[in-house]
Amino acid sequence: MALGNFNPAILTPAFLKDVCGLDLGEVVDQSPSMVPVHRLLVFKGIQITLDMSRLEIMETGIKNGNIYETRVLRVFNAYYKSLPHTPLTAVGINIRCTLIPAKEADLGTLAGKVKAPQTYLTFFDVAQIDVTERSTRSHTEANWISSNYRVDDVDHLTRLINVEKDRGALRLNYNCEAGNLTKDMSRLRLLISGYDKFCEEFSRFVRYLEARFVERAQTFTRHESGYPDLYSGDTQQARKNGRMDFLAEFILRRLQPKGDTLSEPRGTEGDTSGDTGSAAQLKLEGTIDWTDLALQQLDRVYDECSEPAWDGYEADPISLDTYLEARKLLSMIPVSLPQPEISAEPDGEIGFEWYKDRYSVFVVSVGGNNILTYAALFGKDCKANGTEFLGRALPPSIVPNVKRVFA
Amino acid sequence: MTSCEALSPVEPLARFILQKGYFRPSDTSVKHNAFMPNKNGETSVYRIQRLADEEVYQIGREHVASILGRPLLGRADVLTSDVLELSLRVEPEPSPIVCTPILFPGLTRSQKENGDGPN
Repeated sequence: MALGNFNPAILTPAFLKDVCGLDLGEVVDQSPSMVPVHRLLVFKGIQITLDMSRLEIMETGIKNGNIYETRVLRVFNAYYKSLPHTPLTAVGINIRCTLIPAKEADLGTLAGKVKAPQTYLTFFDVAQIDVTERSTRSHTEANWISSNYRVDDVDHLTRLINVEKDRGALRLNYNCEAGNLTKDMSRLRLLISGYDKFCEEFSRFVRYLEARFVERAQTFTRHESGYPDLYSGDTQQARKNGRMDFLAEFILRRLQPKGDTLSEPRGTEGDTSGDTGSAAQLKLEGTIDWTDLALQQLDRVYDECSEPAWDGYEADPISLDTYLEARKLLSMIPVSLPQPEISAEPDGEIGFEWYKDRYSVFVVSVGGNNILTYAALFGKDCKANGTEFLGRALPPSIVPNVKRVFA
Repeated sequence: MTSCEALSPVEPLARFILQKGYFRPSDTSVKHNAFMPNKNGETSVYRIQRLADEEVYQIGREHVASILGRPLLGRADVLTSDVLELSLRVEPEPSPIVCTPILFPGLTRSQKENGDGPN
């Protein structure tokens, strides 16, 4: 889901094919062309909706539940590449699934886990979340219907998670949103480049629910037809263990579309959590250069460590000069080398670390004065260290030392 | 621990960790920068000899984490002997709730370049 200003009239099968270079197959259905403010194109397994303020790309029936390979990313990528000046305010990636307990009686226990704010506080390791709950109350009982959880600033992006009761199941809508794009488009890059990481996080979250649920000796199984049955009596693993160890995979295979995709803007951002399917990718024909990821990490380090005592002790703040010098160094490091881990040092310097194991480490630090210091361990008894002037080119000692760590 | 107790070489010193950049999540090993000194040439640690784990973490929460309002992510321990072997000094505070500084005497840029410091 992308929020912004769009021209719906432009969205035609010919536009997608000839301008965006997308081959999505035959058009199964589409909205009448005489309605210029709303366009709907339906292909097999993928649906694109565009109105003046919203672009929605939804994929259904993802093969083997492999959300990593969704076509939604490719479609958004191609669209945005063709219209790069589209004013976007928010973009969100949404994964929707259904949790079904083995027995109806287990639903309450599962719901208790899924709707408990503590689940989210602990999983995201944050001090506070925003919770909105909908329920009906009478004098004698309370009936929970749904809950929304908003977790701000998870790696600079927002998580919007909706859980709602749906007869004998729970619908989970797991959203990652890059908002306020009018002020900072780098969030979009964070969202897109971090898609695989987001999928991994989602899997971890589901496993986390499973772990907490299994603690109470509950099990899940699948009751609906039409999806691979991983955990019924036919599954050796399930028989062997007597419980489902792979709930995450199970749920990934159950990605479901949602008919209701209505969402309202939230301030200058937008709530894209009502979206379905997977999402968008600006990966322009090729692998992601880790330089971008490293730059994001560097930005985070600078954000978090530019005030005194950022480590709880007496750490010196990272200065702007140090940050800029670290950017300069980063731009010089060949992407053929492994990505370094970037972190702050208590004396206000920024360190780049290449780590293989405890005895194979190379660290380079910059402090904003065009001097680069390094230290290395190449085994238990072999150390190296030195200093270099950081000019217009990467000092010659760096690349061989990094390669030696991983040799 | 009495107020006059001297440091024993086998006494552990704890550095409380609030920064993800101070350890490697992949194997939870501690990075070098967790024990790097600040510009004054000091690294603050806490004396935790004979304290129960929960007591140690309580100190971390109350005296380090609460300052920044961030969660305590963990702690890194180092033996006093490991510090002294590097020709660094420790100025022990008698109380476990007061920072004990590890001093990097006269630390200059050149000393850092020579790789002197606890690993």
